[in-house]
Amino acid sequence: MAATRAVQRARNAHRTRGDTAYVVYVCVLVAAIAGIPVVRAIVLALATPTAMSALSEAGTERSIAVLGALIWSIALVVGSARGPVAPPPFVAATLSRSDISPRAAWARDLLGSALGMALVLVAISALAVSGFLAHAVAVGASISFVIGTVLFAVATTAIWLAGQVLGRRGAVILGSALALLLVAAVVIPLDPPLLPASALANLWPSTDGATSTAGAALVVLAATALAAVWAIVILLDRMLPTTVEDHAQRWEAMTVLAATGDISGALDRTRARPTVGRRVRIPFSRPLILALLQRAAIGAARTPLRIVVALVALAAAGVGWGWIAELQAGPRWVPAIGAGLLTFAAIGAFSDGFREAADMAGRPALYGRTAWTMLLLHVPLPLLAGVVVPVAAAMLSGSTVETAAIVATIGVALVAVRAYDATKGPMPIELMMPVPTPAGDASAIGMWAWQADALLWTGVVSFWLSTSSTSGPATLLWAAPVVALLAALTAGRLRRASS
Amino acid sequence: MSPGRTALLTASEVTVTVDEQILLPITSLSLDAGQALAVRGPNGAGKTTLLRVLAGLMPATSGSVMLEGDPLHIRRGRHRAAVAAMIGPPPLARDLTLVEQLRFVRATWGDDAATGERAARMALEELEIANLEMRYPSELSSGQLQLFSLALTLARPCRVLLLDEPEQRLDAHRRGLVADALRRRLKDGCAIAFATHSTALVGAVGSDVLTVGETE
Repeated sequence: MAATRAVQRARNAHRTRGDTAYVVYVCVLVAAIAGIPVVRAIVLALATPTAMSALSEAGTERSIAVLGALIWSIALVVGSARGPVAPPPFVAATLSRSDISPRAAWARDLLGSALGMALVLVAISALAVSGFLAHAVAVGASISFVIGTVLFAVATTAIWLAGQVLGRRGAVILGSALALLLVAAVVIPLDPPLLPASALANLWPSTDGATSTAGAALVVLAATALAAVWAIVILLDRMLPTTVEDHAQRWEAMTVLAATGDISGALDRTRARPTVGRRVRIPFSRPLILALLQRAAIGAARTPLRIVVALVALAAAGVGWGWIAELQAGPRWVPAIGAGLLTFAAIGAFSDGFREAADMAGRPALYGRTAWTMLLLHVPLPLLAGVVVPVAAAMLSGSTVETAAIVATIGVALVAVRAYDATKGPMPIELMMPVPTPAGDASAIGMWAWQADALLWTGVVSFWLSTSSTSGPATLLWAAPVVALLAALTAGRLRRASS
Repeated sequence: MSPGRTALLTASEVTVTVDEQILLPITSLSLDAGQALAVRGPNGAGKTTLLRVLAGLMPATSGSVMLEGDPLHIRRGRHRAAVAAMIGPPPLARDLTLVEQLRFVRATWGDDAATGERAARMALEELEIANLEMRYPSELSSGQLQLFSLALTLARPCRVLLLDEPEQRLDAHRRGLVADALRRRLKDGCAIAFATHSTALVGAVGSDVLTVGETE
């Protein structure tokens, strides 16, 4: 292994001191200009008395339990597209075809991925409890929650790896178990903490102080983490050479595309391939809009895991919106943006038709309609999924009609954002030109803004809607010009791509 | 072409130049209904560029392309309906089987389900890939993918057919099937221009030859 690593190091260009200094400089600048103000704003918002009171309600614990179970389901799906073991293709080919055991070959890559994921989860959990810590309230419980998140991350790593290693049958069995866990997180009592997700929820601090079951919850999570480590060892040994090579090549292609600004092309590499339903007949009935709905729905059902996760995420977002609407005051925009991003991501599973229509632009005409018409004809499925599922979930969880109207509005707006995002194409070369400023090259700002524009739109739409619940349903009317603007921008992109 | 009659597709002294690089030297051609034209020339001569210009996907730097006497604007519904082309891989739906993709194409051109199904199966049988009808595109070899790309392009109705090296990755038998399919469309009155390196295909289709870089 040491010799292989030495060859790998020799093949890679060494980073000079200047390179390292530049990376540090960029990180410090980004943290100072963008990171610290955002983090400070979130901490201050969470530290308001109303926010702390809202976060201490029982509903928060239930949301954490559901979110925890959802993260596991997502980890399984992500693992099938990009597992935690995705070394450079050269390393993948060399080590996977050698006599080195998979466990020894891939332990380091797995550890790197696990640490990265744990860091993200810990950062989110630390931010979530920052309001309590700012007032020195429930400090012990807050620390326990962060420790619990670390243990939870270990188990998440095992599921992520399972998504990569397990075949179709194993993934279906584990996926079904995780779906049951998700249902359990919604319906069973959180106390005592029998399940890992409910154990994590049990550790959530409140203004009353630590819960009596915190110790038991930590024991459940520690036991889960130990079992996960054992599972990781077994899963690593079962890793096939073709699996590593496949993930390695896909990941490298994705990073190259992402580095050149072709995010949609990069994401296309992760999109699930159909697994079931080959013999389910698509009627292609008339009119054409019905034929496209049938085609989109049956096509989507052929990647069942992806669709189930998306439906669950949409339902969770709907319930989340109901909870957000009930918050009397405080920083409701924080969870609102989270729910918006979740909705946006989930609608993506139903938006292949938008990508298909966008792909027509600039190519010889194959279909009997223009790219714009095809894009419009593809609207019904994402619209049904993005509106009906969250609205039904919100209503079933006891939300008012006003809240349901907000949920429906955000669904419509985010479908428009999805269509706009699908037509993005590769990054314009002008954005990659240097923009000299006294603080250095500012071209990265334009590139980031271009790459994240759909997320920025989602954030703005969610933020705005989170204010609508207090100022009355009439404010929902603003969504009409926003959707019209997005439609005009989408049409413009298609027109440019066709010329 | 008989005097006084308008050709189906004409290109008059078209060129494409980008940053002083000549992608297509001055070229003229005219195509009548039922006529085939093989576009020949070495790699980099401008064959694909010529097809892109004829398909309305790339503007000519100079010269003009006319469809039945009108300047070609591929965004016009009438022109889109008239010109079919396979220049590079067509857009494929990863979640549809081959027969479904063909039925989908036919549905967008107005076919009802039964007519679309019939046309889809004929397109597969014509190139002897009916046995692959239940496969997804990701389950095809490169040669099968080439045949299916041709089947998709041939499945849509058209009056002008433009193909870029349709013989790519095909064995002699399959090249013969492609030639048969093109001959059938010529008989139905379709005008065909195809870039090729295959002398056998040119002979089998019975087409005129235009060598890019030489005037007509």
